[in-house]
Amino acid sequence: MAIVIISSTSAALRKEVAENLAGKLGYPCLGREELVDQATEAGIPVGKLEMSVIKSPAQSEGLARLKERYLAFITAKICEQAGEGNLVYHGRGGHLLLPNVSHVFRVRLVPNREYQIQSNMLKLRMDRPKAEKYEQQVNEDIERWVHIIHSQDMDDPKQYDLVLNLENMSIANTGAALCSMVELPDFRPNPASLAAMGNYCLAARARMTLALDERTAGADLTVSANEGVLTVTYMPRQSQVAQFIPEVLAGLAGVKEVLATMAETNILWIQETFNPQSETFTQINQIAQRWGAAIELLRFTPSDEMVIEEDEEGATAMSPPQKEKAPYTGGIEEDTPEAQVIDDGGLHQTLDELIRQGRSGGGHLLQGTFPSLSKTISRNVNYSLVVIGDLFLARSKAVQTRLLRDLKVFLGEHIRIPVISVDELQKKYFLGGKELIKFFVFALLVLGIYWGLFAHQETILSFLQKYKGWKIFAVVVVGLLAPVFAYLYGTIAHVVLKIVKLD
Amino acid sequence: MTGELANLFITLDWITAIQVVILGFIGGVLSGFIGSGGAFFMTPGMMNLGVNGVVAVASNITHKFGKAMMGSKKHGEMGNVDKKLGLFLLLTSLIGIRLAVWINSLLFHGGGDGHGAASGAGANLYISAVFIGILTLVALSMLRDLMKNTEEGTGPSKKISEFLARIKIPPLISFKVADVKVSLWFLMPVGLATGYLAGTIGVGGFVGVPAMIYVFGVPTAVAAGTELYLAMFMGAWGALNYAWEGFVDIRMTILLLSGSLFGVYLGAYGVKVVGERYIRMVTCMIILLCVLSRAIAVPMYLRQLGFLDISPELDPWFNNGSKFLLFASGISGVVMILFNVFRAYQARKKIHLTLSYGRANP
Repeated sequence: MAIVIISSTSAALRKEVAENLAGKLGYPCLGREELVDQATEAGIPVGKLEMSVIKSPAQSEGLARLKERYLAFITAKICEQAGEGNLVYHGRGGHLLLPNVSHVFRVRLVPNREYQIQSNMLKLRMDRPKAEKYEQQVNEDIERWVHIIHSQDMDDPKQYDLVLNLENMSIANTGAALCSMVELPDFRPNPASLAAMGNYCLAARARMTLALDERTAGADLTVSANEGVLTVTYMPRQSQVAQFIPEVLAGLAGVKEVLATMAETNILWIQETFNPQSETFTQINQIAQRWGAAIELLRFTPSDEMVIEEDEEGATAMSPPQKEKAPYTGGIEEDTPEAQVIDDGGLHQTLDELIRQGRSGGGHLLQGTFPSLSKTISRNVNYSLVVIGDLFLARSKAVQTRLLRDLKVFLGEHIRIPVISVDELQKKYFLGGKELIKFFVFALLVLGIYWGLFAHQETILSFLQKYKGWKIFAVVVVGLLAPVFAYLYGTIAHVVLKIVKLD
Repeated sequence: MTGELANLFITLDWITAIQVVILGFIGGVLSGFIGSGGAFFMTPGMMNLGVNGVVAVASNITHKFGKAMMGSKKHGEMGNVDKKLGLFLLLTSLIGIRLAVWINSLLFHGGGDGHGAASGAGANLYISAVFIGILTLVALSMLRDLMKNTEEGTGPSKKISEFLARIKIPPLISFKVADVKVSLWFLMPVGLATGYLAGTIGVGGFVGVPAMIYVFGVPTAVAAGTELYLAMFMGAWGALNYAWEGFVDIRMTILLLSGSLFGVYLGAYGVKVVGERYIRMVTCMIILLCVLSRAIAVPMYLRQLGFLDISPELDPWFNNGSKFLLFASGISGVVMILFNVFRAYQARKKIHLTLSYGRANP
């Protein structure tokens, strides 16, 4: 019923536990090592990627492309094996591959350090200090790998459903404990989790298909999927690949539509309800036009049960959402689901408008909490801006304002992308009356500096150099004039470039 | 300009002022495009206009102070500045700058005497020699990386970081934003070298940024942001030191800023619309031409110092040849960048960006 993903720094331990668990459950078992071999055979140089990531994390276009292909390959293979459930996968950072898919049970195993050192001493014929050093080095390399490939810290316990320290537990008992937990209703597939997984799988398969076709292999593409609609963004300098994208993806099962958008970057717009006639839509669209960006929509509906509580220190704490329990049906299910009119909060309508205007970066839905929102935002997509729009609409105005502020701070801390609220859009990216006044005042001041400096060159230069006995004043004048002028002139330059839409 | 002033600063007419603004603009575009200071173009450019080497460096470092302040603010908003790393590097870089100012001042006051030569020839030769040495090294490393890397290449050479990653000398300092742990003993020489080069030729970034990437393993964006943060303090310290010695030509600083603050935006825009390989190729070409341009001027300084016996009538030829090559390299580089910027700007307006292929596989 569930997909179990086991992550650990010890390859031997995770393999042993995964095989034990798979045997107990009767699920197929898949390991990272197996997939790495397959990826290498398919032409993805994982060894080279590993060396680059572990030895030096300097990012380059080549490395980013390789990383993306590797992730797409691993995800696609897990999806292929899992189908609609039933798989035990073990790897280093596999738990980060299918975020927010609720029927994925994510387990972290903490190995017994002493056992690891003893094993190294025996296997590699090392003395204890060397074995300890080796163990530490391997752990650091794996942590670095997860950090560079997934842009996440693998030691964060919030990424897992369960963290097990195996210092005092046997493999068999670990398997038994996991076995009983997998059976919990929380990890059963439901329509939402299957849909989310379907989207990840389709995107991964599409990315792999594009990477393996020579016509699109060299392009930097971002692929996302939603209900069979694939959105592929490509860089303007690689516009020649656009014509091949639909051809390459034509044979892919499950694709209803392909949208190929030329974009230098992406803007992520998070909101509860979208309206293509709104002022926010117009503003974000104008910014996207300036930046040559695609707009990705994310309809985020905060969980009904999400409770914000003030603890004793006044810090904000958030309780996890309680999953909705399905009514007991005695195992009898309807042959055909009832036709339902799904309220998508204007997402499709807004997406259609974006497609018409040539700015679509795709769209998706999410119901959850702040952490699940953070997990959904892919660290491997080139976002330049995240705009937080109208959210928490069911709350009172004061609570809404506070929650929006909290969300902005939360996302600002967890994703390294500028996060802005719609209220700030006008001030930051558009010319207002205040800015124009500032522009004219600063222009006058700059002209004044020019006049003062060039009409009295000799006087000023005499003052500034030491022979006239004003050394300390000269230093103060230089120390102040240069940054003040840079600020005044820099502001003018910024406004001018804003006017010609080149900021 | 009369007396002592004439010895130190040039007379500024409209033509020269416009040339300085153009220098600033080209330097700004290159700086935004490459991610380094652009001083490698502006400093020799000013020297070609007759500005004393030490005054050119001083005016440029003062301009850098103002520009870095604006740039680091922008990078800070993007989360690309590791202030802790910047401050650690700053500690020794200030010593490096002070050392550079001291050497430059000494050579300026001592060089050129006794041979009827222009004052400051010693400093000019020294600045040119450091400039040629360092930039040749940078350009050749870039060229080697370019030749080695194929399309699937995973970036620049990693030999140094591979070697240093194995050496862990305490105290190791952890940097949260850059997400690295670095030994204090590696931080100190890098800071010192960055400061020394920033103070001598104004291009500390050429050492600081690669060192952060290759030696410390800092992500590229964070290295560039942190360098700008560092450059703000180094620029301020350098500007104050040179101002104390009376070498800052504030007119030059203002004119450079007038060009560079526009140029830097266009250069940064260029990065978005051209490939990484192209960026490195253009950078490499410009740096090599700048080195060649500076090398052409060297015989003139050698003659002024009495090390070379050639006719003083050849001086304008050396100077103009050097100036021509420098402007040619800068202008051709900027044209290549701006061509891409303009093309992308036009394409942005014309192309219908989303192509919808309805039901490609029903």
